[in-house]
Amino acid sequence: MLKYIFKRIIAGVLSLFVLITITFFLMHAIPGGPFSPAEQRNVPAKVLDQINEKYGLNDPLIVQYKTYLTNLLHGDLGISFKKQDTSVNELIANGFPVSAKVGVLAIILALSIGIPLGILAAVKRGTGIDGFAMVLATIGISVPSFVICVLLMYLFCEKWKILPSYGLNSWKSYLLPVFCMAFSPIAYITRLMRSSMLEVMGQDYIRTERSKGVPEFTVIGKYALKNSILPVVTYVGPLVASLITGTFIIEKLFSIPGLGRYFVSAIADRDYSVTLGLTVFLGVVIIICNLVVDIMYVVIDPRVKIDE
Amino acid sequence: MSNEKNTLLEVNNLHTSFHTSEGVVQSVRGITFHVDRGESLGIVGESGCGKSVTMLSIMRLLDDNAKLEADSILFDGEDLSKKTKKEMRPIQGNRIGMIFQDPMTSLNPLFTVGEQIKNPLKRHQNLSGKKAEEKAIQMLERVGIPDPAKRIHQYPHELSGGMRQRVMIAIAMCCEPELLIADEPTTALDVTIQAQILDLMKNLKEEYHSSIILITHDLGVIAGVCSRIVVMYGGLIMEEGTTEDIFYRTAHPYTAGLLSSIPKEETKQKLIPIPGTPPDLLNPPKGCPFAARCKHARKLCKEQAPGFIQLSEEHRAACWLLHPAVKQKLGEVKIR
Repeated sequence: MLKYIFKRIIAGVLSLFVLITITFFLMHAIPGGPFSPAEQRNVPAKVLDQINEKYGLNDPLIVQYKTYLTNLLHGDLGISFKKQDTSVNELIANGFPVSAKVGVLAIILALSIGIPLGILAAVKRGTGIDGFAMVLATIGISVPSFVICVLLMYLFCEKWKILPSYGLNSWKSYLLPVFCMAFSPIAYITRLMRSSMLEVMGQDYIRTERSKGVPEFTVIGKYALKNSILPVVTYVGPLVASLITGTFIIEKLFSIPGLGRYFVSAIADRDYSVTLGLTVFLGVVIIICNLVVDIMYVVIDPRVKIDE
Repeated sequence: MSNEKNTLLEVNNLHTSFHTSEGVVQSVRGITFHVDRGESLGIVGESGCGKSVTMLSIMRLLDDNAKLEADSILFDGEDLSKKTKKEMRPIQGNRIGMIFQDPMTSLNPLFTVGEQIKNPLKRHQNLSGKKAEEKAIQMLERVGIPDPAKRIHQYPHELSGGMRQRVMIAIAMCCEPELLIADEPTTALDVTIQAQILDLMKNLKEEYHSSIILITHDLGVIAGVCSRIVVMYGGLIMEEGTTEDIFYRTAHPYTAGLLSSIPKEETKQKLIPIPGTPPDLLNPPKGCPFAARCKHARKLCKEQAPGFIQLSEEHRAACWLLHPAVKQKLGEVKIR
């Protein structure tokens, strides 16, 4: 098992290297640079040249690439091109805990609603509960999160004025962003859980459990659940990665000082170091989450053998 | 029929149908039979004739789209057809054990063999975890699994098909049930293992004084195990009698057809198949269900279903050829 994890970490480092290389050259291939707006403002060429010199932008691309990799190996993600005197490491250290807090809460909410609702819909197939769950799931999948966000903000913050619309100052301010973030995952998890539970409920071994006089609640909640949870685990792995690193729309709308908003703004600003830093960080989180999912598979299903 | 006290299970006029998108499938259309204590009853018939549905009806394990109607299903005097699912639980796996056709899919792949045997022991016999484990190991040893103390911690995929069926038998027999229902227990196994599994079932039955209902489409399997046979076709019973009655005093053309399609060792003659396919139970024929494939069928057979003719105390068959009025007109018809 340890050998397997070690192997996976090596493979992860390799993927990260490929990811960094592609992102690095793509970023530099986009027209314009971090100081392009300054060029348009008629900043003297000499000043601009000095700024570029300071940030190493005058070096050939391959040299910049080498410098970046060397710094990265020392754990240094560089300095933001836009926010003076702020290192990317600081940016992540400040933003990530905030995003992660909201993200983890959203995942807990999504699992604790999605799984029971999906099971219930499967067990009561064809009834009103099933219909309700499926309508909810379809809405959750098809309505974009900003629509839900704006709608709920209008109702709770504007009309009824019972919840704050920005910041994260009290438990109340978590309610809306967490719910908005969990909304579409709830829908996906419900659908996944329902279809996989329906499949498992038709299996011979479930009939065997019933023939032993096992109560239906135990049959579903223990014997069928363990068999039907795998698709959900697969889906939740990457979901955790993307939710704990923050989502742009929700953090923007609720003014949450997390990481999510930098993902988009850094690209627009051609902030090379922030874009790369966040990509590396997200890459690491995704690789870890996938590794955890694969380990969970082995724990849940004894038939899954890890290749040592 | 036999003495009341000796009867363990008595099924009276059982009807089971399924509501599907295409209509109502009448899988079992009114069957009556009984099983005595300590007896082995065989139920034969081809796929789709209602054998398995009958057993699932007795165990009350039918899916939600199924409808069960019966005058009564008396098990040791209790009417199972009137019980709720919850009231059935102390009987399922405790007083009636069940073995299914495919051992590869009948065991839960994500739980250890031990967990799956211990579960009914804890539930029905109130054994503690440790006692249940001891009993489970004993049971695995009894069904001929080598090194049971190790096997108990293994998962089904680590066992062969024959081993898994032994585990299924251990699960079904661990609470010493009065009745064991075996639904094609050897169909998915290869021939050498088949004989071992049948022997094991026979031995356990003697040891625990249980009764067995053995469902199969293989008359050869039944001949070695059962003392009485029910032949089913199209959701109805065609013929019922002792093993000798069925094999040597065959009264129904369908039974005769089944017998001539068994491969025989001594002669090299070709097998004689029964031409045609079983009736569509969405629209069952109003006459004898076998009429369309029966070489002796007459107009009457297609129009009106025959009633049972009692041939001896234990032997009965549903065929117009056996009716006294028809016999008088046609004389004795040789069906084999």
